[in-house]
Amino acid sequence: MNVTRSFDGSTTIAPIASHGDGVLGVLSPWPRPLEAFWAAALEGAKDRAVAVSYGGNIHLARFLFAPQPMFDFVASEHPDLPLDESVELIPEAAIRAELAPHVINVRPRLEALAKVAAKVLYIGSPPPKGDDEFIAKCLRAEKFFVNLAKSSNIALEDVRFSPRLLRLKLWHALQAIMRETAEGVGATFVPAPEAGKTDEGYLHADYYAVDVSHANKLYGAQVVANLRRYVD
Amino acid sequence: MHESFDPAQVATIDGPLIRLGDKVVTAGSCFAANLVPYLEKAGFTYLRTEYTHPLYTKIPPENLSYAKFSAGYGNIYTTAQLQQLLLRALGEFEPVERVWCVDDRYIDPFRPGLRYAARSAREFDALTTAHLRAVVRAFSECDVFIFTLGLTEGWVSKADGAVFPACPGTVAGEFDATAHAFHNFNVEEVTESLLAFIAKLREINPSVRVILTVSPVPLVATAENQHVLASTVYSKSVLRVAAETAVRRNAGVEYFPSYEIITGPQAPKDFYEADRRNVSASAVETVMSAFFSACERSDGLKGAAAPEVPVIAPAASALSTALVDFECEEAAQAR
Repeated sequence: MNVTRSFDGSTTIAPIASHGDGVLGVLSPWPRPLEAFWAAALEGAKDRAVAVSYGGNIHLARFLFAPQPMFDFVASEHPDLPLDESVELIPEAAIRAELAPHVINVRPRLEALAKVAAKVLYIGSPPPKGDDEFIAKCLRAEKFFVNLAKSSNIALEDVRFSPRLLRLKLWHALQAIMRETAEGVGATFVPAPEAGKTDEGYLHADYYAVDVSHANKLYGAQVVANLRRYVD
Repeated sequence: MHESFDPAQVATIDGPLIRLGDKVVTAGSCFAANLVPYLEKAGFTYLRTEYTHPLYTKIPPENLSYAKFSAGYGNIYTTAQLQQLLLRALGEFEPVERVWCVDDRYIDPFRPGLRYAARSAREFDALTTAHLRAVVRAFSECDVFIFTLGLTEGWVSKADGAVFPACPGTVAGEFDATAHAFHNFNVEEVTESLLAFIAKLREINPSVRVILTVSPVPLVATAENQHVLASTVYSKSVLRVAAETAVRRNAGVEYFPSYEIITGPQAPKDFYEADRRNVSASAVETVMSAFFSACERSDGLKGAAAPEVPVIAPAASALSTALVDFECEEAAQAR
């Protein structure tokens, strides 16, 4: 996003020029100083619509690489997705127990925002990339990861991704947790735009950022357009 | 307990109960679950075919005893329940009442306390199938099968006699007087189902050795119109007779007298907790000491540390977490 002034390293609210008048964003250094970050969001929330994008990548943080032993599960909201019966079957409730704590942290923040804001929108994260070759290329080109693997004595050619179908199911499970979290505090969950997905439900290649886990600015524009529909 | 009394001498068993390297499976009442950590700590091979994934070490553990036994069957109180489990696992019995839908959960009437219950009909079918496969694997691959007989009182389906581990409506589900009934299994029924189980087990595992014990834990309540103490003595008497009958009629089936060691007149008062129902740790240790003295041992085995739970995946999850954190930082800086 394009902010209207240069970032001085402090946590603050600033207008985002690229999204038109009246659109503000929280600027903060990384790693985020959590209390200051949420305090800034709360400060700017009064009588405004607040959109929160937070905690949507935990499925990849936990399971991008193939777990050992491999497992699969039935995604309750998409029960027709194929099931690999040759690997260990884990209850979806157990998967949710693994993912949920990372999202639950945002619940009191949404709740606090909902008390002062005109509307709180919790943005669903983009679906996973289904092109394993693409993410393998990104991984091999990523110096940070190459060095990390080297220091962990892991050969890059030995790195295996979780099956893309498992990544998709994990994403579905995470979206359900995020939606329930939003609804539990009177916020609105904004799902990933359908136009950004392939027929199978993965992120469309047009919206790939050149890394393993993120979507690009074009996808972001779709999300913003989507948000406007929820606000208007 | 008199100083000269040796609990190990109560057992009159030919040959070791468990040999080094034997794969052991246990089932039964809550007392059976107590044995497992002792077996593992002593270095015996406790065969596990379910709930072994490292994911389970990172989340709240499964309820009750579902993750404590070789497969996720939980406590099995009656011999009818044990026989029914094996028949279901082999596809020879399909209960009429096979699922309870409660809110958004699909409850297994035969494992009603599962924390991680199914969330859709398809998941229920898949989890149940996987569970029953794990039961077959455990029962067919073990060298030694230990079963602790726990109760004679149970709750059954009027439709087909399916036995529930708890009265419907207590742990989950709803009690329906037109569909559910109390049944106190008599000695003929208990013996018949135990013998039928052993015969069926040997169809899939001909060389398995079976060790029977009777739970020393008294009933906490009875559905009979009599004092719980009278029901307890009836129940334990029936179970003891059934176990003895199974031993006398089958080679390779042994009885281990944990019940006698804990409840006999020689037992010290502190073999039960202050509530006079729960068996104390010292009682379990005495029983296990006597049990192990009847097993094949080596000096190196005695007191061996419990095997570590295999956690195979930390490298993968640590790598992905570090990578995603890094990419999020990169993406944030690019804005």
